[in-house]
Amino acid sequence: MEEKILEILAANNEDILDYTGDNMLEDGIVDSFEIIAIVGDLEEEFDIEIDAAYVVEEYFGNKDAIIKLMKMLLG
Amino acid sequence: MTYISVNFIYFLIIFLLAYSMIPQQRIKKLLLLAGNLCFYWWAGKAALAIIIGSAVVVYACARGVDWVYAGYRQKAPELSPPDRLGLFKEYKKKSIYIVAGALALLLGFLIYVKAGRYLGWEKNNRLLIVPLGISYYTLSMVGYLIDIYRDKVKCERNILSFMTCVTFFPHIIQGPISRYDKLLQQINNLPGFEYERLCNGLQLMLWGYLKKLVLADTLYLYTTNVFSNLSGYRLVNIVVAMVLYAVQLYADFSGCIDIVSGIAQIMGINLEKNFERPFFSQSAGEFWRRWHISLGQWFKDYIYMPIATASWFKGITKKIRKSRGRQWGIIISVTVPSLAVWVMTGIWHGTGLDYILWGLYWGSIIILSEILDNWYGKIRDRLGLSKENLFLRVFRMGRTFGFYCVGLLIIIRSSVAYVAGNLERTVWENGIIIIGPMVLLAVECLQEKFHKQGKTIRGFLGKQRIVVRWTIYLAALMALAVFGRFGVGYDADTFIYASF
Repeated sequence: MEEKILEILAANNEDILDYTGDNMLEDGIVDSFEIIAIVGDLEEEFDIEIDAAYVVEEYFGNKDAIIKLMKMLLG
Repeated sequence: MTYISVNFIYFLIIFLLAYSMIPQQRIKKLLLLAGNLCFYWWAGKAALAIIIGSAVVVYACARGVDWVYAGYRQKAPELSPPDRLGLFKEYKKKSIYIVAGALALLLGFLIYVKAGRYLGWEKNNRLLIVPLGISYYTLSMVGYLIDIYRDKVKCERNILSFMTCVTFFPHIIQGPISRYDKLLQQINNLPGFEYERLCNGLQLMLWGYLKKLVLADTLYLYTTNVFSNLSGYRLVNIVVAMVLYAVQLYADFSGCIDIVSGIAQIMGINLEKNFERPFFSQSAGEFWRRWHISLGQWFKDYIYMPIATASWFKGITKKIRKSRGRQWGIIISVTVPSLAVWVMTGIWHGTGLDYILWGLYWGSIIILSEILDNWYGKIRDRLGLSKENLFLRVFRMGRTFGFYCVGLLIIIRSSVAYVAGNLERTVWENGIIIIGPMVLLAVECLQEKFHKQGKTIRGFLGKQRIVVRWTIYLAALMALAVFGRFGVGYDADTFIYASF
């Protein structure tokens, strides 16, 4: 699963993989268009719905936060 | 009383002297509230009553929501994140009516004011009171209430602190659109006097006054002259005026922000950053992340993201992804919320069709840039140019500035009619004369490059994705409709070679 998530992130923006901060949107690594595309890709790939409450810094701040969120949502 | 009036300077000197001499934090805060109310009272007693009334409503509603959420906060720590989210949704349902009622009141009054201005009620001043900075403080209040509803910020319990924050005189006229949670934190911890901070604040204020009074107001003389009599000037004057108007606007707005940020800095309060050298931006999207930052951030947080992440909207985009493919799904998922943001941004800036058009203009540019980004990258790679190439960087900066200047043309008063009429013979005609050969030259260069590789442009286009192809086709059709010469009395078959 992790590999697939990283693949999706890289397909949208390769810089996400090298980013080590806590808030990639605020740090200008990704823009809001890319965040929305990533949410759509993850939902399609894993056949889940990511609630709007999760599309925040805590769960979309960097690649590790996204992996953690997906693990939580997929049980 | 505005920030550039003599009365304001007197007020500021007296206020800052008193403020700096008071050591107790609590009294400092009360003095700040008194100063705010005094400043606002100067703008009109009725307006003061309206802002106080609005602040009381927001304060009471926020406390109401906080009271409803008390039960959730007790149970939440023991639950897993998904269970916590489920429980939180139940509590949100309980508080939605409080928030919806307050939002309807705040936004309803803002809409009433905007509509009243559009309909000219302002002239008959008994019909319309326009509270100073209503567009700014309404957005800040709405943001605070939504954040309380989302349980993202702490609810302020002290009504005097809340009132001080809402009426804070340095940000009330032109923003920045403050996040109350951050401002409240600073207002509740006002620091003592500091000489270095005073110097820094005064320097910033001075720079702001220079930008406003020397640069912006001087440029105003030229630009107003040109725009009030467009048909009396040549194209070159209009273009120069457009460029100068862009500089004027920047100097005026950022000058004001520097003045108010400097005042706040002297008091020990840091306001949000509102500008970050926007004319160095490489794209339209980047420009709006660097110009009026607090407004863009507000629209992103409270309009764009809620639409883009809403279940009903994601349901629609999922269907589009399945039937039309990923690319179309993404395009719809960013286009719809972006257009909503840009229409709202237009309406926020002013009433009337010209402002809506201006919003749509920027929305379309930003969306098209996103769609065409991959295509640009491919062209760049084929031409062997790096993304950081100096020429490309300068070109992108110039292009973004050009977009900005053209955008201004839409909202300059009476320019909509002018664009549709006279300007067709000036900007369009001369524009085509200048830009047309450049486009042709660029296409010729590309053809030459493709030819050497045994390819053709049409063949290249045919291999592109449907989105890319249709974007090009639609752009070409639009160019034909706008620039094409046809209609009654125009004979299209009189080709030059036909006479030979």
